[in-house]
Amino acid sequence: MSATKLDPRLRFLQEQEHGEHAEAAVGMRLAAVKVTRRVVNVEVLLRCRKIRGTKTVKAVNDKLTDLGVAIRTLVDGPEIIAAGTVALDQMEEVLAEDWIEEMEASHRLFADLDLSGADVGVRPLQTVPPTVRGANVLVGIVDGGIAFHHDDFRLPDGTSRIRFLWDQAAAQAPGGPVPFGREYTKADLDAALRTQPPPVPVAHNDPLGHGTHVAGIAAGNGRTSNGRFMGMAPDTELVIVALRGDGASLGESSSAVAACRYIVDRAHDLGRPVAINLSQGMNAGGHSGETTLEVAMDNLARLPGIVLVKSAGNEQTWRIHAAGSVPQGATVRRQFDSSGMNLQQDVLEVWFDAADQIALAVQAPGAPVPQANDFVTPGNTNTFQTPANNRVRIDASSTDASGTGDVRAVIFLSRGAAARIQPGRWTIHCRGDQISHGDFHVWIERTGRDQGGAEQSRFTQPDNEPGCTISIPGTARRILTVGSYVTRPESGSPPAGELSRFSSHGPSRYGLRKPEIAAPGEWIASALSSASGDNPFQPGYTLMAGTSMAAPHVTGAAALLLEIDPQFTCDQVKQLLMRSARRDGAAAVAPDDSWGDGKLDVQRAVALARSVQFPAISNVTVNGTVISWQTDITSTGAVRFNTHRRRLALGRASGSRTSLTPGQQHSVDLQGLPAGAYHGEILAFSTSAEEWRTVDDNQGNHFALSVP
Amino acid sequence: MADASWQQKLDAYGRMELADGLPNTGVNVNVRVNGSGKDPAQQLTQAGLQVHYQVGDIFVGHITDEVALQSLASLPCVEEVQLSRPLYSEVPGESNRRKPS
Repeated sequence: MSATKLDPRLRFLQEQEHGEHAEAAVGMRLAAVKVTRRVVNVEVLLRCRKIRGTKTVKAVNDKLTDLGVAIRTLVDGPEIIAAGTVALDQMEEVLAEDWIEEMEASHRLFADLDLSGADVGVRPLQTVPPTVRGANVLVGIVDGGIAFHHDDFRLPDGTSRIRFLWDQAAAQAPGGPVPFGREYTKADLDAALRTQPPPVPVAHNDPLGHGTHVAGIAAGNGRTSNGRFMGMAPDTELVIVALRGDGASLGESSSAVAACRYIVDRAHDLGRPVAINLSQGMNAGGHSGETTLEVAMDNLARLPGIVLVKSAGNEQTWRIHAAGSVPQGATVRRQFDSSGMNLQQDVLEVWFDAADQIALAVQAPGAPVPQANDFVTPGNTNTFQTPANNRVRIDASSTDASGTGDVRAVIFLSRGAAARIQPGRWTIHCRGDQISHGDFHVWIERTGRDQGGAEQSRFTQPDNEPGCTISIPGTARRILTVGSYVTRPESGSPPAGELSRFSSHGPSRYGLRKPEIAAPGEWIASALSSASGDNPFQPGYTLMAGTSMAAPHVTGAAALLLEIDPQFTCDQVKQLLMRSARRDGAAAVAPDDSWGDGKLDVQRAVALARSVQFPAISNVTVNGTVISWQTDITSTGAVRFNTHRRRLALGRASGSRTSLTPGQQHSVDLQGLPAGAYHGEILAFSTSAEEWRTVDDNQGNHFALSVP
Repeated sequence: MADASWQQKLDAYGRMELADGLPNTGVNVNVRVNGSGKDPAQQLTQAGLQVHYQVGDIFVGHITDEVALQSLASLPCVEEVQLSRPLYSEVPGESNRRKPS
């Protein structure tokens, strides 16, 4: 039991012969180890649960002193953190106390830098044998580009750690292996780094600096800073795709799909697992995983050895989501403010179940209230001009949008004959003509936010609904979506340990828990692209904030787990990370729709990965209303089902039946459900306390059952 | 055989683009296909889609004009055609970058 409480660095120290402790401590950068002829005293931090029925701080102080810990400081909080010195051979006795939850080696601090790596517990994995640093694993970065010459993306011999770089914006090389843009191989990059002028000109750079920063967090080796700003998985190799941006945006959905396919193909060629990072998103879609972008991501994430990680989005403070319920015969209104500025077009999407007949109308600022014939019913489109000469198009033609059985109505506002979209308060009217459920959601699409977001339209404060703001493709079912918390507060930030105010909240529109986890995203020191013009924080590094910075912490963590088992699937990595997540401080409210399952804890995740056994499902048969399957370990299971296959694919089951008997042979009978065709997927849960889960969805096709 | 409801397979962005006229440079699209017919990649290519990549039932590529768009959406194997949409980096804004003071 005490072994799980003990920092691996201390365990490693315990295993050393007398006389070797001091050298080992220096190698692991421990803060202070005092060695005498008989005793080895070590500086430690102890995390202590409060002792019931006592004056806690004093009680902890007294008990630790009795156990031989020389206390230097005690910090009271939800838990008590004690700093002090303890003899190496006294540690087991200390850890035997059930109210002591963890003993960590005090390590040298570097002027309070590099806080995020320490916070997620990755440093011991990188320094204590057997180290886990991402060897033989690829990290894929889909972003704006990379400063490939940065030392943190180079090996000690100066050659590149980047195996492939696809610059989608570059002029196409005739006969090249990519359908547009240009691919550079490691050999091209090595030559460019070694020779001036290079034999193959590599004109690529990263003027935004975003991709370089993201790559540094996931995989930078800290070579520029002697390890001070080392990323999560420093021994990985990289595959980079630089999307073609237009200044305001960072690529587009089709090029992101192409990028992920390309990375997976290159990983396959190299025979390596890969963790892919996407730190970009959009609001155009139903936020239920139904967009083609998300379906493509889910298709890739089904394969073993491929993990896709996505930033949750920074939409929380932008008031881009409204929701509500329309009663039969009533009209519900939602209002948003347009600043005008130079905005040429604004787009909103309204989604509701096609079982409902909700008619929509749009009222411009100062315009008369819409009349009955101004409303657009599902299946129809209307275009009209406002009194200020703006053009409004309401397209509610999609009554089974992307096969979801939902209505997708898109409202386009454009300047029309006017110079710009009219500033002021606009109103969306939702009239309930025929209502079964009545629920609806509305999102405002993003605009460029370079000028502090002045162009971004926002719902009024009362109409703003703070949930369901995860940016797409973060609402894809299989992708791992990451929220942000603070590890380095700056002016205006919440205190360290709290959720970033900008971090988007879940769930998906179909109620899937999103984000799955939170990681440090405010403020993070990582690799600086010299072409970006960003201010250096330290030579070669800069600070950035955003869920863009949180996601690559998880991407790097996923790469470490893939080193443990290259066959892990995205869903399995997701389970490992979620079940090992910390819930300290502000994250004590987890699991919820902002933190997911809590804060990333890589050390625990790796420990779990080393021992986990996921069930395997085999011999699935469907016979009438009965579905049967086998598992390879003693486990129990369930069948989830829906009459609508696409909804089930997106995580919206209409019901489930459970096989309660532990065993290797299972069956579930759907007899008794209303007559009709059903689609099902099987879940198997191990009988261990963790209930590790495997899902068999018939490779995305789902099992078909017919209930007479 | 052309599918009469081909416009229903476009998303609202595609229909909007069609109403305003496709740009001269064409548009990038994401296409979801079903299992009908053989070799969907070949069918899509013959309809005028420059296929860039396939990920399961999703194809991404480029279409140059309205005729090709109609041919593509009319294929029985095509379930839907979504216009490629811009993505945005997820930093809260330029204020959350460190620029030289």
